[in-house]
Formats: sequence, structure tokens, C-alpha cells
Amino acid sequence: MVMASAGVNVPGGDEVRNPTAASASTPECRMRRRHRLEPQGSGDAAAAAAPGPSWVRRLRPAASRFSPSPSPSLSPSSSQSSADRPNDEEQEELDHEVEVELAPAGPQLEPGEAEGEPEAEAVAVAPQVWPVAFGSLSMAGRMRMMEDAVSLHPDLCTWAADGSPMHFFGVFDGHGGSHVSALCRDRMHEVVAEELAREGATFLRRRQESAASGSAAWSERAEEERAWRAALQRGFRRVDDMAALACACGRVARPSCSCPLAGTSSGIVGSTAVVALLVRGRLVVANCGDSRAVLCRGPAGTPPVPLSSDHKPNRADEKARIEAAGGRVVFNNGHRVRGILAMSRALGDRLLRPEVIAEPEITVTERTVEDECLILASDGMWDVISNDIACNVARQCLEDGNPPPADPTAGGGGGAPAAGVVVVAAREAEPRCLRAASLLARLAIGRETQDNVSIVVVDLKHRD
Amino acid sequence: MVGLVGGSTARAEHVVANAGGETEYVRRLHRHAPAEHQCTSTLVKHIKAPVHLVWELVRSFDQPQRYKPFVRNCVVRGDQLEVGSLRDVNVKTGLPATTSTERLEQLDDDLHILGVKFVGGDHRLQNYSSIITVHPESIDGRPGTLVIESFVVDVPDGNTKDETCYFVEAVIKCNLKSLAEVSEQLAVESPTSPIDQ
Repeated sequence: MVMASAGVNVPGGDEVRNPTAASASTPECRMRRRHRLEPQGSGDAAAAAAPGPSWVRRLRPAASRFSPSPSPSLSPSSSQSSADRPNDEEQEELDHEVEVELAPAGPQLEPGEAEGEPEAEAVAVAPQVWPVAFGSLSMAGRMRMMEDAVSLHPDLCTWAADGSPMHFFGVFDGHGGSHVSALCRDRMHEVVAEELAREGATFLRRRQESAASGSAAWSERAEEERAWRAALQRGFRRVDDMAALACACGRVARPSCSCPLAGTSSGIVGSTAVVALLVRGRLVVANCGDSRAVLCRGPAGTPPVPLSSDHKPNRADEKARIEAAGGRVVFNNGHRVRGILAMSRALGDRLLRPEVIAEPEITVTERTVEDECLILASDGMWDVISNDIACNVARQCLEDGNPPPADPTAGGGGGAPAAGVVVVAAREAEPRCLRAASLLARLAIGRETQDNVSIVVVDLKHRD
Repeated sequence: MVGLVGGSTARAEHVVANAGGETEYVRRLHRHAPAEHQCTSTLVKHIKAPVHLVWELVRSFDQPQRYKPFVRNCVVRGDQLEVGSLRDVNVKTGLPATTSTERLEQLDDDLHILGVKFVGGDHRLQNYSSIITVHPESIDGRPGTLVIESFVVDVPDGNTKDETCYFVEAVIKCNLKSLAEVSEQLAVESPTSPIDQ
């Protein structure tokens, strides 16, 4: 069985900005620096704080958008119109800065580089400069049962602070049966979206309180990350709680399901979960189990950056945690918790508690314009393909300038961009991600992986 | 609750007191003669369900998946289910084996004894032999069941006796916990619970 899908989400349709966005990184870096140094910065912050109540209201439609291909546009309203105004002003400022910055070339580079660290604190960079395109492929491989699942939800919801789109991608590798990974595929994004809406409302309230008290301790960046981490942690916990009630037929219910499959014991059925949230210039990855997320940085030859760490029972800190919980790691065709399960964290697996937990480890990584792509995959791929090889293969596929004439798969998600340039880029990007995922899957099968293989490739560059 | 009753591994400190009932059953029904390279152990589980419900699950040699969480499905060879019958058990994914071929050694519906021996498969449990017995008891004034399971098995290369016992006990504890859940659920669902002597 083979399942594949591809799609593009390139927010915004600003024709004026596209040539800039597609060009070298320097102008963008300078734009960010200039914007931060603008005296009007505090004014913008005050303006952003004012529409708080309307943003809270805007969370409601975002939280309810659970369809596989949600529309990125909200219904028009006066609050929406007023909320847009700060962004429009910001847009005009950026356009103006472009004109100014293009003139002096050489001398400006050094100050930009010297201020690399403060630059990381840039706030509210326009979403247009952070493109997202994606493709995925899953194969049963030599296993007769397909227990992997993939979840692709670009524009899942918007972040309360500034309305930025939040993109959700996940890979779930089931074991002992498929219904826990299927549950993750079907419900994880919904639950995470609910928790993000909740955390977003809390974030706005705390920001207002901080501004009102004149507190200097408020750090927008740190508070945002805290909110995203909390949303993901709660999302994982809620899905794990559902797994305990999940029947092999797919129903999640109390009292117990009474279908013919209900007799099948679910005590040792579980799933990994590696989830990536892309919001503005940040990659947020939550991982539970031994699937993996890897960031391919450019140019060619740059080492890949692991965004997750595999939860294997013989990882020193995991082994210590297991033993502290009263368990043991025994070698039995590999290191296993109780000699039974080859990973130390998973959703489900009720009978292996308390040693096997469902708490995700979360990383937050700042994107750079050099980033090539993000790869999420199950251990069926990573067991036989190193991070380096995976990144090189993906990079070559994505850089290929000869895409097929027609899209083999209809793209999902994302609004219809107005700009012709974006439309062209969107059409070309989809098959490259799909081709990268497909080539990696075939390579894994060729290297005789014994497991299911599921791969998501997210292109992080505008490619012409 | 799961407890351990002393075998050759001398886990006397874990003995669960029950007016001598358990130790008597173990002495009479759970005899294993482990060799030097083998380990053995015995586990007990108290289940709040009548003995006939528990026994019906335990004795289902052809359907171990009804209560064993490690089993995906099972095929019994031949038409007649009797002592000497073989079953091919397919194990769920993600676990340290994929198949196990098992022989029915004992099946006594009067004394409630089931004996099974592993005779093939890709697990590492050579010469594994187990005995399960179920016994009526009273828990909180209601009909309950005492389940005792004992085993003997070769210690695989690369593992210690202690590790091997720990692993097999972990599997049996999962099985017994699941047996308790399933049979207690059946007890709740059944309209009446006949009184057993």
C-alpha cells in the first residue's frame, strides 16, 4: 500500500514583495534589522495590544477549522479590518526600507552581522517571507501490516498574537495495531489547535497584564515559546488519554465499545508521534518515541540539524527514568523496556505504564533563509538512512529545476494566491517534495528496512 | 495485585499470605524441575470475577488473543482440540518476536489446569513450559478467582537468569492484568453470577 500527498501554502499575494522574497537573504536580514530599530516600534506594540479583544474573538473560527483543507481567510468583519491595519502599516514600512537598503551595499553587511544575536529577537516578521511547501509518502514495506500514519495540515490555525498561520505536520508509527496511530492522525491536530487557541488567549491576557503593570520582565519570544510548548504537551496528553479508550475499530468511547473487535486487547498497542508546528520564522517540534525530525540547512555540505532525539530505552537519561519508575531495560532482540518494547516513550501502551510515558520532548528552532527543508520520518527510514544522506537526497530533489509538466497529486490546503508568480511557484513546488519523499522511501526499501516507512518533506525555500 | 511465590529463584520475600492456600496449590500443581541453565518462577493474581468466567478465557487454547495483549491471532493445527494439539500464534508488531508455535500439554476442566509448552517460533524462549491454574475464592464477600501461573525456561545466551525471569514475569503480569480486566468486564456485563463452591 502506498499513500502520497503534496501541497503548497504560500501565504499572501503581494506582487511587490515577491521579487524581494525570492532574491538573496541580505535584503531580508537588513529589513529585519531596520524594522527593529525603528522608533515607531513601541507605537506598533501599543497598536498591536489594542486589538486584543478582537483577536480573542478571531480565535474562535480558527479553533473550529478542523477540516483537512481549511480556508486561510476569515470571514470579513470590522474587527478583522481593524486588526489588519497594523499589518498594513508594517507592510508599507518594509517596502520603504527595501528602497533605502538597496542603495548602500557593502558597509551595511558588517553591522547586520555584528547584531546577529539581537536580530534573533525580531518580532512580527511578515508571514510572506517564510514559505511552506510539503509532500509525503508512506509505504508498508516488508511488513504486511500498515501501522504508520501521516497528518498534513497547513494553515491549521492562526497564532493569537499576530494572526500568523500555524502549519502542522506529523508522522505516527504504530505498533501492536494501527488504531493508536490512526487516532493520532485523526485527532492530534484538532486537539493541538484547541490547545493553541487556549494558550493564545492566555498569552494575550498575560501580555496585557504585563503592559498594564509596566513590567520590564515580559519577553514576547519566551512567552510565545512557553505557550506553544504547553499546547503541545497538553495535546499529547489528551490524545494519549483517548488512546486508553480507543477500540481497534477506531471508536473512542466510554463505556467500552461493544463491536466484534472490542475483544481484541489493546493494552499493548501504541504509537510514536513526531509533530512539527511551523509559525513565522520558527520550527517547533514535539517528539515522543523513535520517529525523528531533521532540519536540512543550506548550502550543500552544511551538517543537518536534528530537531528531535530518539527515545530509545538505552539512552542514558531514559534508562535512568525507567529504573526510577521501577522498571528495567533488558536486551531482547534489542534494548527493550521490560524486554518488551523497543522505545521508551509512546502514546498508548497502557499495560507498560509507568515506565513508558507519552510526554513529548520539544525543541524550538529559529529558521534561516538558508534552510532547505524539514524531514519528518518514522524509524523505518532512519534505521537505514542517516541524517546526512537523507538531507543530501532531499536537497538534490528540491533543487532539481526540471519538474514534471503536470502535478501527479492535487495539492491540499492554502488559499489561492492572487499573484501569478506565486501560483507558478506553487505548482512547481509540490511534486518536488513528493519526489523527495518518494525517493527516500525507495532508498529505504532498497536498503531492506524491515518496518513501515513514512516520510514528510517540507520545503522551506521559495524555489523558481 | 500480582505477587510472586518462591520457585528455585528463592523470591520468598515476595510471598503473598493467603492462609496457605496459594502455597498449597503451588506445591501440588506447579512443580517444575529446572536445570542449571534454566530459570523458573510463579506469579499469582486475584481477580474479582467468578471462576467459570476466568477459566473460560484461560482454557481457550485456540483464542489466546481474547485476553493476551501480545497476541494478534492464532491458528490451531488440525480439527480436534486436545492434549498434544499445536497452535501457531502470531505476535503483535513492535515486540521481540513475530511467531510462536505452542503445544497443549494439559487441559483439565475439573481441576482447572492448563499446561502449554513452546515448541517453535522466532522468540528466544527455548524449552518454555508454563502451567496456569484457577481456583475459586471470595473477595470482599463476592465470588472471585485466584490465578496462579508458573513457568520454566532456558536462559538465552547473553542474558542472566535474573533478566530472563524479569522479562517472562513482565509478560505474564501483562497477561494476568489483561485477564483480570477482561473477565471483570464480563462479570459486570453478565446478568447473573452463579455461586461456585
